[in-house]
Amino acid sequence: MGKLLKYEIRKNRASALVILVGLALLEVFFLVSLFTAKESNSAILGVFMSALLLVFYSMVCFFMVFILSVRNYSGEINTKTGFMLFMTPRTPLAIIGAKLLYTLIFGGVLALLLIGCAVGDWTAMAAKFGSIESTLDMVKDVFEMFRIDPARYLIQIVGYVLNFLISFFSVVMLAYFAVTLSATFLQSAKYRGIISFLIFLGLLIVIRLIEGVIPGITPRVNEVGELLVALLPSAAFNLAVMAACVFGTVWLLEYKVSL
Amino acid sequence: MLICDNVTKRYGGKPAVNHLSLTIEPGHTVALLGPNGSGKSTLMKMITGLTRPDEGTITFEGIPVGKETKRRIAYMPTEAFFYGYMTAEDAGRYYEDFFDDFSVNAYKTMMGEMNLDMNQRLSKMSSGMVAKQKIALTLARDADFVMLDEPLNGIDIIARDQIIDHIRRHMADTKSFLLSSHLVDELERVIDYAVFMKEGDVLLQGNAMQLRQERGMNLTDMYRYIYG
Repeated sequence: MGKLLKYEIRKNRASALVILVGLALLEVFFLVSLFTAKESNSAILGVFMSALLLVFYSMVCFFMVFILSVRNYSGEINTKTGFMLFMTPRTPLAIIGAKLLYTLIFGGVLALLLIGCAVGDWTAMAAKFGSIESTLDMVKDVFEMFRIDPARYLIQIVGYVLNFLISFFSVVMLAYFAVTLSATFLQSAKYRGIISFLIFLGLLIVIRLIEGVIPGITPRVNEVGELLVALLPSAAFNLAVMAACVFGTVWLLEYKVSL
Repeated sequence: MLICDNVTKRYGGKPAVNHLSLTIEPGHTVALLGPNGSGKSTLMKMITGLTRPDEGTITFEGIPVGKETKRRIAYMPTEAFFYGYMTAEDAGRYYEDFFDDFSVNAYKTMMGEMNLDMNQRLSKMSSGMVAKQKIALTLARDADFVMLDEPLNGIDIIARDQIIDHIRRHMADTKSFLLSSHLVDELERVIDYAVFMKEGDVLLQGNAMQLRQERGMNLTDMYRYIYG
């Protein structure tokens, strides 16, 4: 698995670099607009806009990680470079596992970088505009007044992030499955890419519809424990979808796909 | 020993390989002969484990082809199959990482003999240079079974001689070679068994010497007679 992972990193180095350079440029843009801003409304608006761009880019980043991961896998299945990978003495499970692990590692590194940027930018803004600090104090006062525990909300955010990650990987695996499925019966079809996408979309809609009718375990969420329990059915469902897609993709690669 | 038993592969209902049976024993060099579309590449991909037969079985040393046999079977596809970023050096490192029988030194020696630059990006090489580099990469594996798909395609006469020479040098009693080509006169110098294919069917197969004696003609003329 280690060697497969090494080559996943190498193959995706250029596209990963593009994403990171984009983030670095936006960060520089934000810091420059922050430190050159005067205490005027228009300057603060400029800082706000650049911060908004960073938030928007963070979302774009994860979409790009998804697209790159699927595009890379589709390339291996549909072009001759697939020989390079599939002629190695490795099982399809190891090959798919290495691709997922790379996506997980890159997504994780990206998430840590984004969190680091957010924390650093917030601190820089607090240093630049003292008023932000006093706003923070005000928020803290409101929290205390209503006896709201910030730590509880932090854990809730962690819960939602974990749920998002599970859901994200189930969608990545669903796309892998759709690409592999189309490589079996549409091997020489002209519009194979479009059909793969439609298969993916169809499967995604069906899965989201099923997920929508899964009953919640706890109707009201007041405690952290309750939140985690409330997220459990959706997380378990997405994990089951992911496992089914891994199994299906590996089976198709092992017995049905012809390169 | 490689055994293909009644192997069939269809694409869109049309057979690419049709009920083919073939046994290749160690020490033999077999030529798969036939025009484009006769099923030679499909058969090689099935032996490598890249493509599954719809019917029949393929075993190498008694093991169905798959992950384990990939360690012992070296395959050179006819197409360029390298990742865009790769130099000849990178390709060697890749093979070294995945195949225990790969020798970097043997690869570098062959690349030097063919006047190829290890640091040149493969996507920037001419088709003739890539053809020679692929041969060097594949023959640098000390595999028990070596398959070269159209090793002489798109290269000049001098390079062809070099490649035939390299193939000949790597032959051993313990190794089998399976070579595909429609350039029969070049291959005739090295093979001892021939399989003539057309549209997925085996039209004729046998020991090269016996075929020549029985039909009173060399394999090149036999090729012209069969496909002409």
